[in-house]
Amino acid sequence: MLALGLLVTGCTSARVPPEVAQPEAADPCLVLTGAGSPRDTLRVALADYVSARHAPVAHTEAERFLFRQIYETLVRVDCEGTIRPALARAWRSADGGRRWIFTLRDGARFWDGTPVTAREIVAGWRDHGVIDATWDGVAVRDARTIDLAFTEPHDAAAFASPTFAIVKRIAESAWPLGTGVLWIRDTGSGVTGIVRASPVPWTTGAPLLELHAAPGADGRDLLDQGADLMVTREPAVRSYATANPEFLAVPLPWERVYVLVSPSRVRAGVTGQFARVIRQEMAGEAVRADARAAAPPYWWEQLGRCQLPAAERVPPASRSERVVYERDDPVARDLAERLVAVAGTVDAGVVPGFAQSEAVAVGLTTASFATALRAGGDLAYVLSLPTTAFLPCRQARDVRRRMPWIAPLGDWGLGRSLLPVVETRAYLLVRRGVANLTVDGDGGVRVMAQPAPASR
Amino acid sequence: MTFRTRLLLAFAAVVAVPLVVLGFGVRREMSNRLSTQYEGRVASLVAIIEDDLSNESEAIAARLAALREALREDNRFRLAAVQAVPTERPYLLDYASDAMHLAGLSMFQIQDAAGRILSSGHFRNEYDRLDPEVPLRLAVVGPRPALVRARTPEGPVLALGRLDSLQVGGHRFVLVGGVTVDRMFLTRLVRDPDLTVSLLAPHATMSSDERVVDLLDSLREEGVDRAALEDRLLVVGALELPYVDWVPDSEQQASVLLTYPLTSLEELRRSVDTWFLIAIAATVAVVLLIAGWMSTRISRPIRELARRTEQVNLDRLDVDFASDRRDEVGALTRLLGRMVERLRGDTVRLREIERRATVGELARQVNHDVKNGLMPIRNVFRHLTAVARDEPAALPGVFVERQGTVESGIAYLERLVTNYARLYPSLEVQACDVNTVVREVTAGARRSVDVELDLRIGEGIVAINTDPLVLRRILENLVRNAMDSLEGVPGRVTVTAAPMDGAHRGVRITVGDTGKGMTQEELDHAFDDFYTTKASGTGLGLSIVRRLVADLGGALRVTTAPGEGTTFTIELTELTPQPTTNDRRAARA
Repeated sequence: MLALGLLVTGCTSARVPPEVAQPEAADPCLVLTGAGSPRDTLRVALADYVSARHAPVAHTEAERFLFRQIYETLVRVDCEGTIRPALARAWRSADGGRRWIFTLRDGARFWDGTPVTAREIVAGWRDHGVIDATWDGVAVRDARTIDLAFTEPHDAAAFASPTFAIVKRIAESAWPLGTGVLWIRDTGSGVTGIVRASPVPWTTGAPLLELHAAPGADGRDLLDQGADLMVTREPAVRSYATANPEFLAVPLPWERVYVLVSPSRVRAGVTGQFARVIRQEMAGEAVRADARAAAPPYWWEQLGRCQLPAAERVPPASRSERVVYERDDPVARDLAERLVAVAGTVDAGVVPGFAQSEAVAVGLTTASFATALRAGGDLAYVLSLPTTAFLPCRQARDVRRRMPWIAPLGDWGLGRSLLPVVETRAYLLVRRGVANLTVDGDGGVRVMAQPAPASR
Repeated sequence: MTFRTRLLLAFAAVVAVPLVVLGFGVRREMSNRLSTQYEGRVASLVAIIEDDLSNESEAIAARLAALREALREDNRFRLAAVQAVPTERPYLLDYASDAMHLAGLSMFQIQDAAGRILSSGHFRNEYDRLDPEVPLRLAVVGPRPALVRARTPEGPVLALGRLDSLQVGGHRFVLVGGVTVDRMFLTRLVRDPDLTVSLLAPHATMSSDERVVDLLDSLREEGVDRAALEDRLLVVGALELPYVDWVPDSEQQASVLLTYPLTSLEELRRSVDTWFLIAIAATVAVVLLIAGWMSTRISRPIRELARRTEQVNLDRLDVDFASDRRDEVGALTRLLGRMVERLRGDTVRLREIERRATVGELARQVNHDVKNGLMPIRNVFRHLTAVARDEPAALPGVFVERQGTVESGIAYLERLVTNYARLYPSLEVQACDVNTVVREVTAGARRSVDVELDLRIGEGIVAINTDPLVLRRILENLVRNAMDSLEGVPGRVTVTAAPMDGAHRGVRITVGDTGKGMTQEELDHAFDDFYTTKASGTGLGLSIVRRLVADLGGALRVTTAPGEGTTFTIELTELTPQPTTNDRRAARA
């Protein structure tokens, strides 16, 4: 803490490369919705409620869509993996990615009109607990320059993580103030069926977003009822939108990988034939979604540089014949059921406990699933992980937290414990001509403030 | 064992034993009749349930036939299943699920001729699994209802299943469909809410009543046979069903049991038992009360009679044995009363005899003592006579010389008389006006302004032969005691005198007060010497009264209660008059 304080008030003497301004390039991820005049108000259908308490880190896809529109990070990653400026106009790194210096763009303001300063950013991060033990220090060089130091190397993409979103909490609003071109003026609890994100007064060209939360509703009904924009994973909804010439269905990046984890397999450390058989059986027709066979996510390869703790304990012996999944996830359910169907056909010598015909698939609520996963007393679990990770080390720690019994992490350690089966993606359904959009590398969708020239 | 205990036991045995025998008989007869009645009802229900299962099976067959025709016309199915067009593969995989729901089935599966699952409605992702056993065994069963064990992601389920097949493009496809047999299904089969329908399958046990499931499972674990099951459950009907499992060589029979749970009959039995016990308890209680009352009616007067009898001795012959009971106890009481009365008379006579004997002895003693006293006097007189005759001049001197001897003899005789007079206060029986004595006593009683002295003298009283002096002493003691019992508080002392009825002439005198009365313990010691409840009393008053009354041949009774006062009753009969001194002088003259 002393070192951190000194760093905040002073400057480091390490040599850093000269700052290079990042030029604005044409956005290859722009989604052109066709001819037509953009609307002042867009109706967006959401599959979940949104809560101001979670801002700026989304807990659901609905919150991810909304927070992406109203909060900014220092940089963003487009659908091709290119780092693009956001709140920062320039940046440079040193010490193998352990130190980063960002220069904020000119004229950046919070929703209340106050300018965004480096000191405000640091204060916001402190309030949200972003600055933790993995930080080596943070220094405010001037009003628009901050100097960040970490104990482990980071990529520039790390600063596109919502964890690093720039917010300022005020007492008058449940919603923390952001720096985006859309803002929420509601001062209530932030959990309502309809949320309106309006353009801030000092910007032009951004539409008002009227977000309607309709959990459990049929997406086709929402489209018929006037929704202009929707993100869906339902094949039937996608098929319906595709058949409707008013809508455009745009596949988003493969952003979710479903993995199978079996405590007995982790304990026995077996690989090889089991992985081949299972992936062959489960990757094909088992899933009723847009899915493909999965490879281990790229970020698993980067765990070697993380300072990850060892396993807390040995995986427990299976006490049940359950293949457990999260009840609200249809893909996980399909995979669990397929695993149950083929359990009796897998070679008994490959994985202890899998050559049983009495296995059953059991869907649990989110909380119960988390509890069961932490206990590790079941035959197997099906769960999803993001294919992209801005902060791989943090993601790996989260996996360890969810499964304390998982095998050693790092250097493909997750590959010895988790078996990727399929990866899936969602679809963006948008009414033609109502707005232009762009897609981030993690599948996030942004509504563009200004009509952009055609590039895709 | 006391008389009362024997009486209680006798009553209990006489009443309770027949009641218990009656209760057991009623309970057994009721159980037998109910069992017979339910067996008859369930026998008819077995046939009804068999019909229901057949109808349900036929309905399933009809739905499978409809699906068969739809499949035969479905080109996408033909492309997927026969031509193996990859783009139609998802359609085939999802076909069974949609068809199953449309047909109202809960189990539906399409297999090829080799037994490979092409599409499954109840387990979508079990495609490509080989499962030839179920169609083969269903084919053997034929059109009868059969129980099929089917796999689902959540575990095996039981279904009432049927089989159908079709030919498409030269390929044979098998359709297996059914409806789930679960607790709700069994409940729908129950036409009588008192009955339970249970299913005993090789891998499952279920029932319309969950309590029966636990019992069946426990019995199955114990490996008991059907007879034991009937003993526990009162099984009254059974229906055998073919059982089809995907596991080869598994058991092929399941049983539908119609049972009347013992719980219902047991509840009825418990109810009967409860009321029966209540009846016994009430009967025993009434018997005990009656027996207790009767034994009390008998034993209490006997105990009272024993208590009175225990008080009787020669000094206490005034115990009252009066009774107005007309039963044997009353007769015995009166008999004892007469016996005590005779004893009292005999005692008076005995005392008179003793007194006379004592008087005779005393007379001899007096004679002896008087002779001894007279002897020196006579000797002096003989001496004086001899001096007067022989020496007259010396007579005065001799007289003076012997005068002391004479006086000493006379003094001795006087002391002797005094002593004898003090030794025995003899009765002076004479005609005595009782009313006069009562008036004199009450007139001389110590008076207090707070005490009202109520004197009630009967008109018919005449003089009776008794000792007035003794009677006076008795009354003075009693009246004084009555006055003292008031202890200075306002009250009343009542003295009555009245002639007694009966063969003997006599008088009944009562002295009553409204004073503090006596407890039973005080009464028990009231006539003891030196017993007193007064601070300055000698404790001899009532003791003397009792002896004096006994001397007069009378009876003394006391009625008292704490806080209500005390009444003494003296009953005197006429004594035989004794000759007075004058009479004796006259007689001597």
